[in-house]
Amino acid sequence: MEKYKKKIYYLAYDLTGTHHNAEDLSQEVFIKAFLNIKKFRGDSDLGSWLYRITINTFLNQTKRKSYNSLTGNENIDRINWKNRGFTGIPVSPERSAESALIKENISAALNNLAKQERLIFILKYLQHLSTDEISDLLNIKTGTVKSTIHRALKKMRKALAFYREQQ
Amino acid sequence: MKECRKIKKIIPEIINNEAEQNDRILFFNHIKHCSSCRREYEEIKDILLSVKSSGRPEPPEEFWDNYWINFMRRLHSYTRTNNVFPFFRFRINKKQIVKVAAAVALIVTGFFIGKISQNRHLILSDGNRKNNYGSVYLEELSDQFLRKSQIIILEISNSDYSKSSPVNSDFSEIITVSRQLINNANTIRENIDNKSNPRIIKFIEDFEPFLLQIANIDNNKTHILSTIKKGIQQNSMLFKIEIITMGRKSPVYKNFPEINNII
Repeated sequence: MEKYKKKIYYLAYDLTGTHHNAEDLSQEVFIKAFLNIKKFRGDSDLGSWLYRITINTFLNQTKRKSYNSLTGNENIDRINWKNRGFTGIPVSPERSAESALIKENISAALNNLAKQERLIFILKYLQHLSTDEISDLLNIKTGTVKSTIHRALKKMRKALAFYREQQ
Repeated sequence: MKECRKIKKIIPEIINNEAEQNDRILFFNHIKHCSSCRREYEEIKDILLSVKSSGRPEPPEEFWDNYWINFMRRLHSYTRTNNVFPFFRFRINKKQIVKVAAAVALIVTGFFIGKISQNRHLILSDGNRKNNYGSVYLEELSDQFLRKSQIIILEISNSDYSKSSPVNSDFSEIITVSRQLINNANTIRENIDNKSNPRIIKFIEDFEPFLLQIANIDNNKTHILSTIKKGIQQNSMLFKIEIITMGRKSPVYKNFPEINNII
């Protein structure tokens, strides 16, 4: 479990958009895994099983509450980690502000996607899973994954058109 | 235009490095001279680059150090509030309560019906049988036993056998009946419930010694009749017969069980 804690946390972060929600979701995933470990058949690897639990738990939760991906608007992010990038290396305030703006725009564009499009986009471009892996994980055809990605990118391009014009 | 549609469709695969070699050649040859497709490709690449560069904030080490401690804390409160462990896994909902209540009501009703029918069986068998004889048959047999025994006792106590030989045709009939009554007494005693019919058993016990004596009378022993008559007087058999007759005439008799003590 130890080696998966960061992977699951980051997937939860990508899906929910805040540290607080990511912590909640990831810990719920491990609780479910702990209580249902007997159901794990071992025909797939543990990582895939945990990924599946994370996605299902997230989808169930989104029926009850909505998340904003990549918003980073919670106080804890701003206070403790505002000057740290993805690797934790300190960055300049200008760069940080620009990064925050990009992040905000991308987050807004992502939130305008349909649930399935957003999920597949996250798995593809934030979790770097292959089309086949996404297909296995979500139990859908690879053709569906490809067409969904194509549709999601088209929508993202349209949503971020104003940002390119500003540049 | 048709080619542009195909090219735009494979942009994600080109960016993801998942396109086949033929498609890659076709794509890059196409964007050399198609500005629209090239622009779309560049824009999507920029978007994805921005997505990757936006990254995620890295939580402090402290968060990872306490990760499993927090997990255990949550697990504890989760199991406590959700009753997830096997012993407590059975949660009762309203439907289940109704089902259980219905089942209990059915069992209780069945129990009482069983109890009543058992009591009914006891009531019907009152007076009654141990083995193969029906209660009605035993009642009739007891009644016959009492009536015939009374007649024999009354006959003997009211006759004077000193003047004539008792062993005549009439008396031989009395002997035959006495023998039958002894057999009947045995049948009644073997099959009747002693506890619920103490009165009949008591009468049999009273009459049987006299019937045995009568049944064994032969020609040369007529003197025994005076002994039997003496016994009838000493045991107040005529009084007992009087009581039985009263009991038969009045159903109220049944309401005074203390009369059994008198008998």
